[in-house]
Formats: sequence, C-alpha cells, structure tokens
Amino acid sequence: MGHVGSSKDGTEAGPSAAAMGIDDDEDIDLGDVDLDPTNAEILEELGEDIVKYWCKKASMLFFNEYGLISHQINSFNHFIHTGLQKTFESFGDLVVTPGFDPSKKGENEHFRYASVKFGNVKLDKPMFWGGEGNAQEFKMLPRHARIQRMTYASKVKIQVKVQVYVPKKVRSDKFKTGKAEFLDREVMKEDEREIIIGRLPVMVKSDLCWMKEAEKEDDEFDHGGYFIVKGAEKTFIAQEQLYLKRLWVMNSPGWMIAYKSQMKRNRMVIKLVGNSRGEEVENGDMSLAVYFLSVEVPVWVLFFALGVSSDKEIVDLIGCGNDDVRIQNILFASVRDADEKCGAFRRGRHAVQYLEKCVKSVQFPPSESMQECLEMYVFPGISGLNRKARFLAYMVKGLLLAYTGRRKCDNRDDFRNKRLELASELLDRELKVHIAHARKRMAKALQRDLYGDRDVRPIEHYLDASIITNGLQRAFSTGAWSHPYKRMERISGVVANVGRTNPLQTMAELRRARQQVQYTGKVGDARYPHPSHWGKVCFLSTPDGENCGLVKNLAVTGLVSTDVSAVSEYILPKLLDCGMEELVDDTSTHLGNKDKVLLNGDWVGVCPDSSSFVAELRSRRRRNELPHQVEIKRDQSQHEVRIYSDAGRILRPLLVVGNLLKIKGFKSDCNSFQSLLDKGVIELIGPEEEEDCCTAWGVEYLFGKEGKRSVKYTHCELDMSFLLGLSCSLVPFANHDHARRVLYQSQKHSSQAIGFSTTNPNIRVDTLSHQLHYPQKPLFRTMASDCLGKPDNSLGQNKISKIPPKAEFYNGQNAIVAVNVHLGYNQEDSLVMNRASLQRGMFRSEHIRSYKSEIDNKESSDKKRKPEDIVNFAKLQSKIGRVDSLDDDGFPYVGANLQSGDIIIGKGAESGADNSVKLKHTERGYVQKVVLSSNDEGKNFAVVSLRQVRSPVLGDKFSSMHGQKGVLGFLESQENFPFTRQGIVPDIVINPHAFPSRQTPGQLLEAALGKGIACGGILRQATPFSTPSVDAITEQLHRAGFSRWGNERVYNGRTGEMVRSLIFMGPTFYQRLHHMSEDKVKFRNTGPVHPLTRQPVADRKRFGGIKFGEMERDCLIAHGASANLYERLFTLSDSSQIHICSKCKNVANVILRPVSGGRKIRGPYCRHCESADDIVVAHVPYGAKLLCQELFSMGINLKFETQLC
Amino acid sequence: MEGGVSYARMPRVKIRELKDDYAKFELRDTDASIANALRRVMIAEVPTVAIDLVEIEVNSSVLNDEFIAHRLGLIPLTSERAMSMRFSRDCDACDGDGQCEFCSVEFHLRVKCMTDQTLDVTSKDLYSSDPTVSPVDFSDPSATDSPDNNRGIIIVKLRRGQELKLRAIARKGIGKDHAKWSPAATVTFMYEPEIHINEDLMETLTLEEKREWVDSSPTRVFEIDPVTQQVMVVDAEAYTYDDEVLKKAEAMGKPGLVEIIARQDSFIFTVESTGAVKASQLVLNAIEILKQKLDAVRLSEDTVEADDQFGELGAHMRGG
Repeated sequence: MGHVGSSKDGTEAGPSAAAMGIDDDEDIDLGDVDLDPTNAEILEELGEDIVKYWCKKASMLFFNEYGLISHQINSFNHFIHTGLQKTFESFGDLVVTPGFDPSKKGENEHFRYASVKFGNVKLDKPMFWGGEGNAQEFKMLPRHARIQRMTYASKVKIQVKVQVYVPKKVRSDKFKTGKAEFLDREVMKEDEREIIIGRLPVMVKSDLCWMKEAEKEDDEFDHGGYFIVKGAEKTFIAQEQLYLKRLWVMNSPGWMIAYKSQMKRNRMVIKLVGNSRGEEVENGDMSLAVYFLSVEVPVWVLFFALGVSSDKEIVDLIGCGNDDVRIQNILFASVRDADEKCGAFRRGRHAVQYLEKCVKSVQFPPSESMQECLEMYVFPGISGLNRKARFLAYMVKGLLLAYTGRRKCDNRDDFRNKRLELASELLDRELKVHIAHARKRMAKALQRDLYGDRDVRPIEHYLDASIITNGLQRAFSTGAWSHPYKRMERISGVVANVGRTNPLQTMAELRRARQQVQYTGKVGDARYPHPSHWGKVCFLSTPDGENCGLVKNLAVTGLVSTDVSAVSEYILPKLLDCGMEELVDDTSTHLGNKDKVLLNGDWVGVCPDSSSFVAELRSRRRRNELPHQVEIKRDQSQHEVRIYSDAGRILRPLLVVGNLLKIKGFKSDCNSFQSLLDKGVIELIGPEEEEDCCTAWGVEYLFGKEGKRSVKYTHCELDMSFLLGLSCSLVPFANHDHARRVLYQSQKHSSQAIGFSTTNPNIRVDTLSHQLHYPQKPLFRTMASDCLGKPDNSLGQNKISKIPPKAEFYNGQNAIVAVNVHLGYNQEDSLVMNRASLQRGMFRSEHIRSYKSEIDNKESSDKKRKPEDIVNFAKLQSKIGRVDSLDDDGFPYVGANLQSGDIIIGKGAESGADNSVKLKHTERGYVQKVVLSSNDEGKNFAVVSLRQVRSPVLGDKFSSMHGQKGVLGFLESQENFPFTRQGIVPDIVINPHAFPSRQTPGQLLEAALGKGIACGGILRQATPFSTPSVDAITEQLHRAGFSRWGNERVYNGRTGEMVRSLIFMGPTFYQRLHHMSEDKVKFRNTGPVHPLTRQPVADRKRFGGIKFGEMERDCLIAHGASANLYERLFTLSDSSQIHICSKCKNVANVILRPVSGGRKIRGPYCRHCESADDIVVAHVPYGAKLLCQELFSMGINLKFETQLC
Repeated sequence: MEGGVSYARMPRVKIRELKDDYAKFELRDTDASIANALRRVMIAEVPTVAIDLVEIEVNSSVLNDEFIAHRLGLIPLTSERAMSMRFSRDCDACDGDGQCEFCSVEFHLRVKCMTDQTLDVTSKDLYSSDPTVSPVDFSDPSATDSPDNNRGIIIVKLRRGQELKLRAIARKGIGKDHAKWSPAATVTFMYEPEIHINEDLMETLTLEEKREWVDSSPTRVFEIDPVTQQVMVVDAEAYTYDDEVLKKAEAMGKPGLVEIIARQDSFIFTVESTGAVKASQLVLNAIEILKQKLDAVRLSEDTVEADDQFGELGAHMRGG
C-alpha cells in the first residue's frame, strides 16, 4: 500500500473538492501566494536523499527531546502543576452542623456551626527527617527511598480556613433591601493557616524530583517515570477508557444516541421507542424519547422546556430536511406522543412543570428546582438554555441520520473514541477518595467539639494527614485502585512493579496500556487490532492468554497528550480570529450552511467556510500560535469541525510535505525538535485528524516513479518501522519473520534476557538482579536503535546538553552460529555450544540475591540476661545453622563464601531464642554487600546481598532475536567442531529443522548481513519494512570474499575430512534468558511430607518432591513399566499399612489390650470379632487409609475383601 | 590406496612463512588423519602456563573478585618452560598443593589509584617470581615509544581511591582442561586444490562471458590474460571449495568447464599463536606430544614399565 489513512468523505468529494481538501494543509503564510510552489516542485527541488537525511535527523531529535517515557512524566507534571489544585477545589465548602442534642447544649443559648474551606495547595520536594532530636531535614533522593524502604513522597501543604459561627437573624431597613430580616453569620472564631494534609508519592525525574536537575546521574539507564513506595518501584499502566465527551450512536439493544458523563446526573440518552398504542402498530411508527435524571420523557417536551416556542422551530433546528418519509413519521409520532402525555406542554411553563412532576417522583430526586436542573445538569459545558436546545436538536439529528443509514454507529474500539488515563487522571481519582474520607472524619470530630462546653481546637487536630498518606501508599502497594465509575469498587492492573531484568524490559513496561473489561473470554472486537491503531499502539506486541489484545504497547513514537484545556480561554479567541462565529443564543435563527465547531465535544460556534477555517487553524498550530497537541478534524459529511485539546490522546509526529522547503533554512544549526514543530515541518497528528491525512509510508513513495506520481501526499512517516512498539522495532528483519515469532521476541524473550541492568549497582538492593559480564551490541542496526543508541561523543564532553541518558536495549552477545546437525545433540531445539567459548567468558553472568530482615537494637534495654542465654555469633554454634562466616554483630563479612544451611543474618530474641535468617538448600553465594538502614518509621533492617557467577551449563535457555529459543543440549570441545579454512569454529550450532516450521528467515538474513558487516561492509541497516534486499546482502557477501548465500565449506573436526555439504554460518545476536537449570534442578532422597496426607510437599524451596503427573503416568503405562510406576506412586510417595480382619472384613485397630495373665500387649485387634486371630496386613497408600477413616467418622463403614497372595 | 602397501609415511614439510605468532607451511605425502591429529594436538594438548589460583587481598574496584580472577586466567603467559615443568597434581616436591618452583609461578599485583585520572590496570602490572614466565608483550618493537604501543591487556580500571591487591599462582595445563591453556589462537589447514580448465569449452565463451564467470568467484582464483584473452589460474590456493564457479558454469550451460579436485595428500597449514609459545615452537611441541602419545600406545601393554621409563609422559597421559 502506498499510503495510509483515507478521508471518510472521499466518496462524496469530487476531484475539485479533493484538490481543495489537499490545499487545506498548505500554509498561507508561505510568502508570496502567487509564487507558492506545489508539493511536486518542492520534492523536485529537495531530492530524495535530503528528505531521507532529514527524516532520520528529525527522528533522532524527537527521541532526544521526548525520550521514551515522556508521557508518564508529562502527565505527572501536569497533575502537580494544575490537577492537584483542581482536585481540592472540586470539594466545596464543608459545613459542619451540630448534633442538636439538647442535653449537650451547655450554657450557650445557640448551637454552633462550623465551615471549612480549602485554599491554595503547595508541594515541596521530598525530604526526610534526620531522626529524633534532630530537627533538620535532608534531601530524600530516590536511592535513599530504595535502600531505606521509604516512600519517595512530597508534603502536600494546603491553606485551610475554619470558621465557627452562629446563624443569627438581623433586622434591616425594609425600604433599602426589600426584606425585613435575613440570616447572617456571627463569627465566634476564625482560624486560617497552612497545614500538611498528606504526602504524595513523587514520580522519579518529574519536576518535583531532585534527580531532574542533578548534575550527576544515579544510574545512566534510569529514565524515571515510576514511583518508589516503601522501597518498591511502581509504575502506572496507562488505562484505556472510552471518551465520554462525544456523542455515542448505538443500535444495540436499540437505536439510541447517548451523551455520557462520569456523573450520573449529567448523562442523557435519546432513544427510538416503539409506539405504545395498539391501534397504530400496523404502521410501525417509532417515536423519540429522552432519558435523563432517571426519568424518560418525550423529547418534544424537553425542547419546549429549554425555550423553543413552536414545533416548526424544532424541525428547523433538527434540520434533517423533509425528503425522508421515515424521519417525518418519527417526528410526527414524537409530537403525538408528547401530546398524549402532556397535552398543554406548548403553553406557558407547562413543559417545565411536567418535567418537575416526573423528576420529583423518582426515588432520589435532586434537591434543586427544575430550572436549576436544566441549567446545571443538562449539557453542563454549554451555557444558555437556547444553546442547549440546539445541542439537543443536534443529538436528535445524529440519531435520525444513523437510523436512516447516512451515518455510521460509533465503534467503541476505534482509537478516536479512546483516551488513555495516566498519572494525572489516576492520582486525581484515588486522591478524591481519600480526601473525602479525611473530610468525613474531620466533620465527625468537629461536630463533637461544637457542643457548648468544648473549645474548637487548631486545625491540625481535625485533619488527619495519615489518611491520605497511607491511603495512597496502600493503593500503590496492593495495586487495588479506585474504579473510574463505581465508587465502592477497586480494580487491579493499574499499578505494576517495575521489572529490572534489563533496561528494555523496564522501558517496555513503562509504555504499556491496558483496557479493562468486565468478563474475560469473549469481549467482542476489543482484542483485535483496529486500523486506527496504526502508529499509535503496536499491533504485534501483546501477551498471550487472558490479556491477549487488551494489554497493548505504545508505538515507538507515540506520545500521549496532556490537558491543555486550561487555555480554553486562550483557544476560543483564536477560533474567533480564524473565522468562527459565536453560537447565537436563541432558537429561531437559521444557521444555513454553516458548519458546527465543537471544542472537546462542546458546541462553541459555527463557521461559514470550514475549509478556510481549518486551514487557518492548522497554519496557526504549525506556527506555534496554538498548542501543538491540539487536534483539528474537519468532518465534511456531518458539516462539523471538531477540535480537541484534552488529555489522553495518542499523537505521533509526521512530516508535513508542503513545508519541507523550510528545512533549507535550518542548515546545520537545527538541534531541537521543538524548532521543527515551530516551523511547521513536523506536526503531531492525533487519531481522528489522521483520517484526513494522506500519509506516505516512506520517503520513496513521495518520489514515485515518473508515471506513478498521481497520489498527492500531505504527510510522510518518519520511518516505516515507527508503527511498531519499542521491542518490535529493535528486531532485525522483523518483516521477514512470522508475526508470532516477532511477538515472542518482543513480548517474552526481550524481557527475560540477561543484560546490563544498571550502571550503579551500589545503590540498589533488588531481591534478584542479573548482569551479563560482557554484553555486546549487535552488528546490525535498526532505525529505532540508531535513534535510541548512545551518542557517539559521550565521553563526558556533552554535559551541557540536556540529552536524556540512553539505555542499552540489546541484551546479549554476538555468536558465530552454524545451522547444522551436530551428532544429533541439538534435536528438539537444543543448542550445541563451544566449550572453549564459554570458558573464555561468553554468556557468563552474575546474579545477586538480597536477603532482608528487620532488626531491633536492644542495647538500651536494662534487663540483665543470663550469661548462658546470650547467643554469641562467631564463637558459639547456632542451633539452626552454621555461623562460621558471621562477625560479632551477626552479619557476614564481605567476601565470605556462604553455602546452603549457613546463617546469613544472625538474630537473637530477648528470651534467647534464635531467630536467624538461614539460607535454604538451593541458595549460596559470596557476600557482596551488607547494608544496615532504617526507614522513616524508625524500623531498622539489614540487607545482605549474595553474589553468584554462572557460566552456561546444560539446560540453560538461550534465544535469538527471532523467537528461536532453545536450551543448551551439549558442550562440545573446540577441536571437535567443524572448522573453515580460516579456522573459524562456530560458537553455537542450531538445528536446521528450527527454521521451516517457524518461518524465521529473518535470522538467516541477519547472519548473512552480519557476516558482510564483520568483513567491513557498509550495508548495516536491518530496520523492519525497509530492510536491504537479498540481492544487496548477497552482493556484499560476494565482495567480502564469501559465498553469496552464506554457505561455507567446512572440515570435520574429528577426522579432518571435507564435509560434503556446505554449511550456513554467520554471526547472530543471541540472548541468554534467565531460565537457568541451576534454579530449577531438584533432587530429593527424603524430606518433608504433608502432615495430613503424608505425601511429599510440593515446592523446590520447601525441599519437596518431584511432580509425577498424569502424562508421566501414561508414559510408563505405555512402556509397560509397572514396577517403576508402583515405585513412583506408592513406595516413594505415601506407602502405609492397614490391618483388616479377614473374617468380618472390617478394619482392625492397633490397641493396647489386656490378656490373660495380667499383662498388656499392643497389636491389631478386631473389636467386632473380639479376637486377633484373622488379622491380615494390607499395604495401601496413606491417602486411601485416610479416606477410609474420614468416611468412618461420617458414619460410613467400608468393608474389604481380602485374599492371601 | 593399493592393498598390501605399507602404511609407513614420509611426510615432507615446506615452510612458507614464519613469524613469532604466525606460521604457514605445507604438509605433503601424508593423509588427513595425520594433519588433523596435528591440528587437534596444537589446539588442545600442547601445555602452557596460565594463572590458576587467585588470592585477592583488597579489591575495591567496580568488578567483583570472580570477574577479575577470570580475566587474569585468560592472560597469556610466556611458556617456553612449560614442556619441562611438572603438572602440579603430580608434583612430589610440594605434595600436590602447587606452590613450589617446579610446578608453579607466583605473581603479585598491587595497584592503587591516587590521581583523578582513571588508572588502567594492565598485564604489565603483574610481577612474576620467574622472569621466564611473564605476561606476553604485545607491543610492536618497530614502532616508536608511543603511549598506545606500550600497554598490555587491561584487567580493570580504577578511579581515585580504589585499590587492587592480589597474589596469583600460575600452573601448567593443557587446552583440553580449560581454554586458557590453549596456546593456539587458531589452527587450520586446507586441502590443496588441483584446478583444470577445459580449454575447448572455454573457447566457446565470449570475452564478456569469461569475465562474468571469472567474477563469480568471491575470491580471486582466475584471471583473464589481457594479451591472449585466455582464462588462467592465478591463485589456486585462494579457492575455498564454495562451488560458486561450478554453479555459474552450470547456469551458463557449460557443466564441465572446470574441474577442481582436492588433493588428499597435500595440506596447507596456518598456525596462529596467542604469544604464549612461538608458532614454530608450537608446531614442534605438538609433534613431540604426538610422538609421546604414539610411544604410549606402543608400550601400553606394559603399564609398570611405561611408568618407570616415561614418568613425565605418564603424567601427561593422565593429564589428558
């Protein structure tokens, strides 16, 4: 395909309209209009190479400025600058009324009232106390919060004003005010001050974070974008929600159009309902009904209540024309329905009275009058009842057009109908829950002190700061977040732990988006890719299983908008300047052919010429007179211009073809992506605006062949691979592989690869972290890896520039891989590896595991303990483990070699009991670090880190970049491998059967390209969708002196003979995954059993047994190995005995009974037969014996037939 | 090979190129088994000396102890004396713990960074107790004394205040035990090709077709004589047996255009040394080891006598 996106009104527009539509994207301010060059002339003048160079340069500037997680940080910054104040302001004054208990009235004659008002909110940077007695506060850096298990939070200070007053009647001059008396407040006490209302977790590298302006990075791979809550790193997964501010046309279960809102009272639905009268059923007429404020009324009545004065005005407002008989019938039926329900609705205020009667009869009627309800709850964003009537008519028109087939129903999976919720929206929601909780507690406490005898105390006494602080921490720690609609419910999947296996996994997790559905399983089309996902979310990366299609990944250049509607007062004047007219506030003026202008779903005006209006708006956006995030959509079929400036839209940068000439003026001083935006060379396109853009997928489509230049492109992609997500765009030759293999690599293997996770391990005490000793970059490059890679001049010289640090996104090593069968050891995806390569350090890795424990310092205790109760580590033996490596303080010394069973943290209680932390039987290592610390709650704790260095062993897992994973099946000596005439011996031998069924020729292309690169070739790009052709790769190999197809003649390493076949061999990038056999190997001779069933316990950590499943049982049955099966399931499991009386077939008991002679003996005895003569012993599993006993306790007796064998 | 002919071989060696770390020679009048045996022995059974035990006293660098120990073990040490040394497990002078002068060499490393400049700890900072066993010097003698030329293998980099202090024991070993003891960077051989051009078929090609066929070889094996317009072989040994020219001839409709046979009794050896042993000495040591293995096979019936007569050989055989 040559271009993406197509105009929805393409079928209706003729050639002249199409040409006029394309002209919309040209800037009027290009100079002399008469000399305005066309797009074709622009492209001829620049040339293809210059445009390609600028595409790459713009991509690099984009990533330098925005990085990969700017959507997280920008959302949080917007919240702390704007959203937090709004959150508090959304709560009005709190009026505390007294309890009106006469017995507590006291000496005063009147009951006292209180009023609490919130004012200005301020936030500090994170600080922490130095301890008791030390009043000084210190900077809290993220590394302090991590190591000391504190929450990286800032204090929220708010201005609170409390008034205690008594309402009092005051006389006044009747002739001045018109009233004899009115209620005034007699203020008895007033208090206003700034108090700390709670602590808000701070996102790392946001504006509130110390690390944003720090000269020296803690960790070069740390980009921020997450929170630290009690030492754990948490991040938000963007939540995909329906956009509520647009009208929704649905035809299931019936035809309706809905105005949705989070507040229930603001919602409105217009339905097509069947006529209730029986005698007119044969006509099939349907009428319009509107459902709002929990009642259903005829729509005509609502029109008259909003100020329309005649039926003709309503028909003119709707404006569907009179040419469709079905629409006429619906309107007539609606009028008839209104006449039947409220006969006099046209006269006077009868319509309002009818509505009031309906609304007041519901279960929970609103307390306001009907007039106030119409002003507050009906279309709250629009002012004026007459304008609301116009909007209502606009809704009716939309429904009728959809019913007659001239408008499509809204697709809930289209990304134009979606908004992503990030830190700004999520924190606002959670904070409101806890502020409401704190206010409720404050009101209750204040109410008690309002009684006569008590004094109202300072504000700090009533506002409990821990409610908000602990509430936010609990929400982050447990992951149970407040529901967007249901107040009492909480949802999961909002907060995720930040993974630290490698930097790519961290980045991919910060760029995740999720859609919540009520039922797993069938969710309709929500799991499928939609065409609007192009360039916004990756259509390959998604988990398999129950979240398939619901959890998505942002495309590599995807940005998420923040709310710029705070400048709505700033945008509206711009719209009026560009030609918009204000909407008249009456119901009788005809709008004629003017188009509607909607701003964030609200109808704000009309414009006579939408073409010039939209062109002028876009021109101003490209000149930075409007924010770049503003989205402008011209809908010619519905005669609308829709403008969006709200948060949560996914935007992406596209090249504007008409403004390409401006790059000549940049020359070489362009070092900012913002200047490209300001010049209009690049603009950010949202999902709805993209439907009107004619976008070329690559630069070569702009410069089509001579006869194929008929398509006039308005925009161009920066690179073809930017529609993929972060992990997918790093896969070489991804378009040559099966999509499933790219999915495995991007979703799973890249997260499991062991790489270089941090540049500063000293500041981290992760429970488990991995590090590859010699990580390497691959030989190939992709466009995404070029833009995201390290700057070339990064030797500390560019400290002045604010380029964000770049992480390492390739986690593995280059290995010489031969595709060969090596003695059969690499069957079933196994790999044969060169032992000498591993001994020289290939894929060697380091694993650090931390053990944490809380400790108490009891030196201040004045109790005298007995000398024999003191546990002296390093001298005496502990009862539960070895203490050879511990110092006097109970901690091991750095460098000690600890084995399983050793004590790692020595602890003793006051009673002398030994509570030490001991290594389990699978854990060992060298002591890397011992940390003693305390958090801000005064708890002391210790962390001991153990280090293990591992070389690959049989059973370890590896994977290429194409989803070809395999375990290590054999380690071969170097001299036994086949060798080439140059002496090259492969590091890895892979089975050729792995390629045909999995369809991964990309791996072979990567190896062939890598071989050419290693020999000095200049062809290095392996970007998906713009990969070099096979001819180019083979030509590069040929010039390097190798066979064209990458095959080589090899000699048998064992015999020296020439191998008859040519073997494909080349460098391939391989990753070591963190599934290692040392973590999974398990053996057991004897060990713990379950106390109830006496069967072995389950886990490896608990020294459990090896699972012998149903399939294993079937395998042994197939082989006829019954003795083996008997041993596995009985002898080694829960072998037991049961005594049975063969005479009466009951179970005999083993009891102590008297016998003749006065002695007592112990043995089996049948109580039924009262003898021990016929007892036999049967060997049964203990589970069967347990079942027999359980049934007996329920009164069910089992009988056993016995037969001697 | 004819039946009844004796298996005695008279191989001939012709040296083409000889440097300290590189050797190229021809081996003729023998078969592939001897050539491959020589290759395998050079890779895996020629003994060298490498660091085998590291006691780290102080290590405040960013790398941990195992990392540094592994890097120390991979440093090649000059091992001319290795053939006459003893394996530490068979040494009777120190009861097998490998600490005496007959079977081990001691190294010391003591470096501390006192300046703001990053300090590179290299193999030149290792001090040996035996001057004949020291880290291999990779500097180029012909170049002038420039800073880049005079550096060894980097072990670790230290910042101000960081320190590394350790003692290391180097022992004799062979590459079969660990790759660090292998003296060969790589050893390879190829069969000498015999190339016969069918002149009659070649004459049926046009000059353009001849050039196209000549260019189909990725390595420069054939060339067109500018005077006579004939295709001739300029470098037969550049042929890599990749069948490219054969496929091209078949594609052009001339399947018998050229005939290439690998001679089964001529081998061209290439030996690259890591510097621990000179390349020439490596070949000689390999031949010596091969002879010892053959002697051991011949005397294997009398084990006791073999131990007495060839004590060092017995130790080597058990080591392998």
